[in-house]
Amino acid sequence: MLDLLAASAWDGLASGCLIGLVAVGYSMAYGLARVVNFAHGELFTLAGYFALLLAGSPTPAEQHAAVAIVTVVGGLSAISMTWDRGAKVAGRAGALWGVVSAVLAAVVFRGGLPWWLVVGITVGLSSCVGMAIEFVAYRPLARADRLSPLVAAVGLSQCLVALMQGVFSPKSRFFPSSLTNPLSHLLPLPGALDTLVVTVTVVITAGAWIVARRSRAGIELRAVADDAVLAARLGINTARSARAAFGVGGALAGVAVILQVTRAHVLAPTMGYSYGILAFSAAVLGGIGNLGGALAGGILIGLVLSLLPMLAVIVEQWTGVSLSDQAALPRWLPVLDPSAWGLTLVYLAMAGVLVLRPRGILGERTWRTA
Amino acid sequence: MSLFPRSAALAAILWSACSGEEAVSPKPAAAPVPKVVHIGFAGPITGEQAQYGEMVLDGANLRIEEAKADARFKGMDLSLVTGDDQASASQAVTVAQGFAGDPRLPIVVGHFNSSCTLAALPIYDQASLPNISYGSTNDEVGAKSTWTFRTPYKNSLQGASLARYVARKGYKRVAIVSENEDYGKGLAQTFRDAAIAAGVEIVTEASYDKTTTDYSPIVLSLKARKPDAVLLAGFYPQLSVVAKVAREKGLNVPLLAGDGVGSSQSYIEMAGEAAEGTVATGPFLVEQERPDIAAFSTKFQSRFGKPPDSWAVYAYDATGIALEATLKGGAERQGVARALGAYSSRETAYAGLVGPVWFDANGDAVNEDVTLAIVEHGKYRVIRD
Repeated sequence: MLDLLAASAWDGLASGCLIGLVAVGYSMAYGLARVVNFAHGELFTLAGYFALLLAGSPTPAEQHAAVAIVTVVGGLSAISMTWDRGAKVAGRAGALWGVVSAVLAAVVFRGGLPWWLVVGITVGLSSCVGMAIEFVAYRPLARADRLSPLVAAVGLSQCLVALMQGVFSPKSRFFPSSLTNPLSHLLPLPGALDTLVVTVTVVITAGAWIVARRSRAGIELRAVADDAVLAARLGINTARSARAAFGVGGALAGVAVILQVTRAHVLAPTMGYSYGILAFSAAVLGGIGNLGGALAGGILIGLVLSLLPMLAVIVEQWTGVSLSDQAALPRWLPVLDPSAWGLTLVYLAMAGVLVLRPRGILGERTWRTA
Repeated sequence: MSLFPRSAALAAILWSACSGEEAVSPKPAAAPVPKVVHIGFAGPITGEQAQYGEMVLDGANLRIEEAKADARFKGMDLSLVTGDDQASASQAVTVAQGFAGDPRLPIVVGHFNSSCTLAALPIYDQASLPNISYGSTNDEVGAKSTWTFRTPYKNSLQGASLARYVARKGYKRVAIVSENEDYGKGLAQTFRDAAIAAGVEIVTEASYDKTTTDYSPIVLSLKARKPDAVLLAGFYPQLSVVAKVAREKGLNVPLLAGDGVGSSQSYIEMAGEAAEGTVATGPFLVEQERPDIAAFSTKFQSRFGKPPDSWAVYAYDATGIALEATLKGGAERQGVARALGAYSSRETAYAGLVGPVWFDANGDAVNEDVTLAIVEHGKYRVIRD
């Protein structure tokens, strides 16, 4: 029993780390661009499909679609990066990068790439998708009222789901073993995949911490998150930090989706919604805008979802009553299905945090309400 | 939409139907032969169970294509009006409302999921729109509405069959994993009742949602209860993942399943090695050697580039019944319902690919056949029940 409890905890930790990595994307977008990017879950899913096509054997239709998507994304992210230098420069950069991305995509999306290339390209692409989303859906609305970006987010996420269903078929799919096997055996340990997940998360967190504290870019980002108006007055380019938020968030979603689909075997156009809600809850639990909090929130959710069913087993063994059998329970007690109650508990906790500690469980003050 | 154009359209259809009678039917038939036959078709075309949607839509389309080549339907405008319920009850209601308000439709073929049929049937009931499900096996489906018919059997038949198997194999402790909707819950309940009656202990019943992204917590909690076997009550796009995760987490006990898995080759393709040894009920196996099914399989394969599963056959048959009923009932809701009700005994049955299909007073197909099969070397093999 104890070994299973430990296995569950480890499993929950790994699953929580991945929820946390996606949650950081929500949190950064809020902290630096003041938007709740509800399309982040779909970005996560789209990155999963990139990895699937890069590693697997895509059909010609899928190849063409991927090339088209990458062309648009490459062009848009180049425009986004050069926008400050005027429309002419940005237009040229966009056209040039569109063509370059199309050529590169035509080469790599024939599939069958080794795992490290799949990971690298997917992470780069999903970072570009993040920046393109910021440029198309949120930057034009930077001065609009609060509701407009939210409507844009919902609309964009619906569009992306429809696009993925149309292009990659609505059916759920798995990663090919040429991607999952090397990742599962990358570390020579038992339960290597979960260990890999935790290691990757620790490395990313440590790297992000160092960048945030030591580098100029990191200090600028923290300044914008702390007070965007003041930071802008001091000459910090806030549009650039918003773009960085989406770029980094996209890259983290790319890492997360590869590991998540490898360990949980679920990849479907609609998965971004349920996974996104989990990650968003994690971001809120940790105090949205607080990156460490987002990660902590994710880990907490992972642990709750995985330990609650085990807790039920312990209660059953202790009392000798099956919680799922109405006949064995006292009449006033409803059937308790811990696998279904886990999510309820997560959302209740989220509501509780919003009411009692709006700045999140860690309680650190990282932004000022203007 | 105002009332006037709708009734005008209806009048136009009725008029064209009447003029069709003069042109096509030489003898004074009971109902006018229609010129326009639009059949509503509802199923999970997208969403988490889109695998089924693709199969059943192909099956239905194949039947429509055949009818177009059939002399009895000559000169008629035949087509399917598809509605995507995304395997979601709330979406099914939206689809049903659309169909109910569409005067072109005398009948709906659908839905697939029990939860969708159960959610949609009050709307069909109110609109007096006959509907025939090709996939819903929850026990309550037929009895809830006089306008609802279905071609598959009920869950209780599958539950009993699986419970007999469990008792025969001597499994003492069985865990249930069910999808949180009417099919999964219904199958779990009928199995639980039959298994307990046979002296088997149900150690737990865990449920999942079709949008679940991580099944390992459920699998680990099942493993902690040390079952002799696990019943998977749900649909294969999710259960193939559960099977994979179960094997990875070292839950190496036999897996049992209903027709949400049974007879679908895709379950085996998706779950791979983990599918080996799964015992599942199903309506019948497409691979089994019957000349008419073999001919259908060949045709389906050449048309769509993949082998059919039994749900494609069910959708094909249900569409066939709908076409016949429209021919007899005159593309008008009351008449079509009467024509469906007339399939009331073995003698008056519709000759389907699954066998003769006829309905009891509730509109449930009278069917006592359920096949039990085990996955061996990537194929289903029928085992005697």
